[in-house]
Amino acid sequence: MELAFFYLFAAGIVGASLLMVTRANVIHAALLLVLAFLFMAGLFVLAGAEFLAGVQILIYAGGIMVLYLFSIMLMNVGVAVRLRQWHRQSVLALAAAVLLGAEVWAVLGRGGYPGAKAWGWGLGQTPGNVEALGEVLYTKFLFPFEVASILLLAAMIGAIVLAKREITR
Amino acid sequence: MTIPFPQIHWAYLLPVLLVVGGAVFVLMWDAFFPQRERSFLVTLTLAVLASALGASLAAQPGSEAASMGGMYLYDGFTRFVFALILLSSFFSVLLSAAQRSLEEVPAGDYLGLILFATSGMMLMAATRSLLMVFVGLEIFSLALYVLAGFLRGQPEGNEAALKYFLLGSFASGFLLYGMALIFGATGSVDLMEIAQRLTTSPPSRSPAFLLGLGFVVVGLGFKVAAAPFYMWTPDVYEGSPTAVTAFMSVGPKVAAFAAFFRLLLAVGPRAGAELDAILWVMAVLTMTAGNVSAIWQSNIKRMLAYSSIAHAGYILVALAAVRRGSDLATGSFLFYMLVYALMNMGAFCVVVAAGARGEERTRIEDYAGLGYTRPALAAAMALFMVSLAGIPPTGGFVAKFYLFSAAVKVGFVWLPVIAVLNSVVSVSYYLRLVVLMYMREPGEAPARPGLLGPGWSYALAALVLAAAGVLNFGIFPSSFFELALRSTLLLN
Amino acid sequence: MGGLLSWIVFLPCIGGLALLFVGDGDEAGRRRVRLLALAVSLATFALSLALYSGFQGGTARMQFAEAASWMPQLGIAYKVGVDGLSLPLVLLTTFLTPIAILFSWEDVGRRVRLYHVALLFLETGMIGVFVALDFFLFYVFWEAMLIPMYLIIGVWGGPRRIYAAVKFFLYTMAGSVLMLVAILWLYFVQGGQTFDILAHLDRPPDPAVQGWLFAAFALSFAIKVPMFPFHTWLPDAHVEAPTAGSVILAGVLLKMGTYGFMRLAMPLFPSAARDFAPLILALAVIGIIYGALMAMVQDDVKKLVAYSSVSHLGFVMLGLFSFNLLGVSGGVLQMVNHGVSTGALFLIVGMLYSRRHTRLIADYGGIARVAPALSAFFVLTTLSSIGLPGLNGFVGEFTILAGAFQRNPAFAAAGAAGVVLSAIYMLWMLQRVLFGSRLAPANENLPDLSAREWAVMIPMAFLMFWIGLYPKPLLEKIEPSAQAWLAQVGRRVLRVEAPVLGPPGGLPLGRGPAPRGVAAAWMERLRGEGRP
Repeated sequence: MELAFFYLFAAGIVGASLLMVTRANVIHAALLLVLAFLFMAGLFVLAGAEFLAGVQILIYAGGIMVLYLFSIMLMNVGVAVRLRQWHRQSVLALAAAVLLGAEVWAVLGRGGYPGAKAWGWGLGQTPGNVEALGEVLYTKFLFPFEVASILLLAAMIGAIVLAKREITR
Repeated sequence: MTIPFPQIHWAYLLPVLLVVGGAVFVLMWDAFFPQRERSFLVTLTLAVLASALGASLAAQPGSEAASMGGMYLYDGFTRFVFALILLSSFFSVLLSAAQRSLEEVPAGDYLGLILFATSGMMLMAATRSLLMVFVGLEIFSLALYVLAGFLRGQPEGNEAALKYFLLGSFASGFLLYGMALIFGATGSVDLMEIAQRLTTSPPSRSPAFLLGLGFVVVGLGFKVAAAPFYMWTPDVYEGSPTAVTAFMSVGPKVAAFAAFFRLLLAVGPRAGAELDAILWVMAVLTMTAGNVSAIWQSNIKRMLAYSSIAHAGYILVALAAVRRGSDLATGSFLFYMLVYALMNMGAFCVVVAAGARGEERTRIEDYAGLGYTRPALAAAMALFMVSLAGIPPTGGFVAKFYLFSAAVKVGFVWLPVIAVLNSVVSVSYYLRLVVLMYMREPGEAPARPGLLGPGWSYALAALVLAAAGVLNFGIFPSSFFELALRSTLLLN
Repeated sequence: MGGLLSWIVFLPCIGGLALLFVGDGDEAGRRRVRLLALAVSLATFALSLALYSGFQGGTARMQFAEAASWMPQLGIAYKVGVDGLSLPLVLLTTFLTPIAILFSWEDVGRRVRLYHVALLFLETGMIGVFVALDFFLFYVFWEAMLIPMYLIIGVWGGPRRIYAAVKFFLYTMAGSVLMLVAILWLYFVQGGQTFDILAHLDRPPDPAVQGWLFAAFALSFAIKVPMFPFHTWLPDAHVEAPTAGSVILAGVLLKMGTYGFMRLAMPLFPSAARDFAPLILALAVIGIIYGALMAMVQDDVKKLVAYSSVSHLGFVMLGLFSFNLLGVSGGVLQMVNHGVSTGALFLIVGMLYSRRHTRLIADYGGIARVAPALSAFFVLTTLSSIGLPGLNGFVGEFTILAGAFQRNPAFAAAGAAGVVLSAIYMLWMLQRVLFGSRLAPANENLPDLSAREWAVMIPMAFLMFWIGLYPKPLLEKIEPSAQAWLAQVGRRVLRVEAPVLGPPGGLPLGRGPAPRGVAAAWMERLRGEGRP
């Protein structure tokens, strides 16, 4: 049963992604991306990571996609539809992607993640993984968590600088 | 459930706190008192950097090096790398203040971003955790993406920023994926734990681990502009404001190489000979590609970009040596970076100072006859070029000497041979500038172009500092090399 | 620091730094610059005379040695000292520099300050190479001296000066970087963890690797000498350099190559030196003949002298790789002689050029009638260069050939052919320039020597006669070191090859007495009969 759902979600991700990158209309592509995100959230649920599944839907499907749609709306969609979708490097890119995928497949297929079995994932013993995540976030990974706020601040200032420039011009 | 307060050594954390606090303060000051003079903010930033430098020099690393479970690690290596990063930020602020085209930009945003970038570099270098490496890298990368395109209305600047952003994000993706694979293989992001698990457990050299290591090498290779991931460098260096280019050519390299060093010291001895071959080939490709491409450049910033690629190749020699366990490699790397920072910053400073009002002198041809129109500036440039080429009695030579010593010591023969032959190739383009400055008559030169602008004193300070350093490290390198040798890494 | 030798090394450098603060904007300023540079170089020369008089003959040990810690982490120290092999070259350097400065008085009118600064820095570099007793120090001086020479050729040279300067720099640099790796290898792999040259002399590396190390050292020195086929930078550099630059280049810089062979490459790797000897001897002989033949067909006087340098330095190499006392003493002497004679030749060519602005032999002819003093010096210098008995060139060439004869008569014969060839091209050139019935109209008002030119030429002529007629004091100081050197090189060679060589005494290697033949008798005479 679980396996069947896994293949369903996986096929959904691959199919939605493929459709997304081949669409000429950006809005369609964006909506297909949402679909791919939803399937991915399904995978996370199957893996027992409810928190990640929720975050996936909230942040990616919700926040980031809305941002995408906003910026797409601000652009002229009509022009994008008429632009050439493919250029000559696509064959090369496809070859490189297939090669890399095969490499990753081969490598992971042989060894898997020994760390998962040998040492666990470093999470605590608490039952639900929201609690576990919360605990390590505020103990073990407190410093990166705090430092990430510097990252966000720097990013915000960068965005303001770029935006301010648009206005003054 | 109680959450224990983590153990923090505030004295060790002080340099980072000063820089971050300074960044916020500079931003706030500019927001509340926008009418104040720009030079005040510049002085303030310099003071912040200087005090952070003082704080890091004052904090003697002891046995209690690791704060917060190794997320922040303050050892001798960190201390020296902090000094290098702060020095390069100090120089780039001086250069920014001297550069005319940056006079109109909002100083608070600009200086704040430089300070944020500095803090990111420091955090990236001072940690045992791959997670912090990534967060630090992202902090300075984001700041630099914006700084690269800071000049308004310059198409080259926009191109540089966009190119840097797109390729940089791609490289970050590689880095992160690699870290995830390493985590998957070993169950930890802490380098010390990873090293322990690699020794104690049979599946250590799992394919997933090696693949992850490879991806991390790709990601870091991009940041240090090593072959074959250097393609972005010339365009980005050319398009960015010169002061930012100078910063980019030193600061991120120091930070990324420092992280590289920690990674190699932890996992290198157990990662096997594959890594040896990878580093060897990367070093040779990087220095050769940099040096050979630099010969054909007609823009001085592009030339210096390729030259910095070549120098990254030399440093990769030290990385290869460190993987083989050369005890000299770390010290010679630190010393090399110190000299490299001075001479590269000095060269960019000359580019800034030679710029006329409104436009920069970026074509190499523009430097014809500079030795007679502006002798002091040309003499400084000649000194930096000679040092970059690695000719005594300059710091560049001594630094290269130490670096290649480290490689010879662990039994490399062909790598240093290729490296010294490469430095012969590099002589041809470094000396081309000397030829132009001294052996050609000045063209219809703008008679003494905007020399005594308000920024001149900053440029002068940077030039004097860099030139004195390059000469001093060429003739009396001993004390600083001793310091670099003692700045060892603390792994456990 | 503070010893005599350090003063000699660094006084020019200090003077050069001081010069940076003297303005050369007007004629008076330029005059001040020249006077100061001359004063500094003369003071250095005076110090080196004190060195000469304080130098004890009869011993081979390093004298005036100084040592100071420099980079203790890698065992790098500041170590200098002179022995009989380096003393003549130090003297030659300090002697030629004031001459070069004096000659440039009117020759160099542009960028006077930079020129003299470069010249003085160059002097420090050259002396440093000759006195350094630490590999690192040696390498620093060896490379550092490239830059001032590069500037002198490139800024004040002839029309193709940039090409010549870059070629000079790249050739020399390409040769010497491999030596750097070899030095590092010696330090780490050979062991000892020291850069002390003398310490390494006592510990020859394993013969199996000596070949590689010797090749790395030899390449850098062979380019500098220059030996055939690495000589192609030399004619360009000589022709394009200003006269004073040519004098220094021929007089001192080329000697750094032969000195390197003598001080480092051969005693450090004796068995490899032995293995390579046939090749190097062959190249030396080819260089002698080739240089002479090339000189013969030149129509440019300066180029002719440049090719004669290739030929003459072939003699030095021939002497050194003969592995016997005659060859080595002759080689050292020939280094000095070549510096004096060829330096003087370049000076005279420079004088002719400054008068007529041409170097083509065809443009001259009959000069002897309008400028007798100039011509007299020209004849004297040429004869000294050819090796006329009674002048300096003879002593060196003859002893070298005698040494080479002991080693292998065929090489000596080829070398002797080179002597004959040199007589031919030199005399032929002399005849075309000075004599000949036709006096071109442009040459009719050619002025004779000025007072300054007299001042330049008289010391040179004095030295030619002095070494030619009374070399004893100089030889006395050279000889013990040459003998010790031979013991160093020869002993090892003997030790390695003794079983193969057959009866001892077949070759005058090692400490055994040299066969008393004609040549030995000659040496006795040169040394002065009553040797204590």
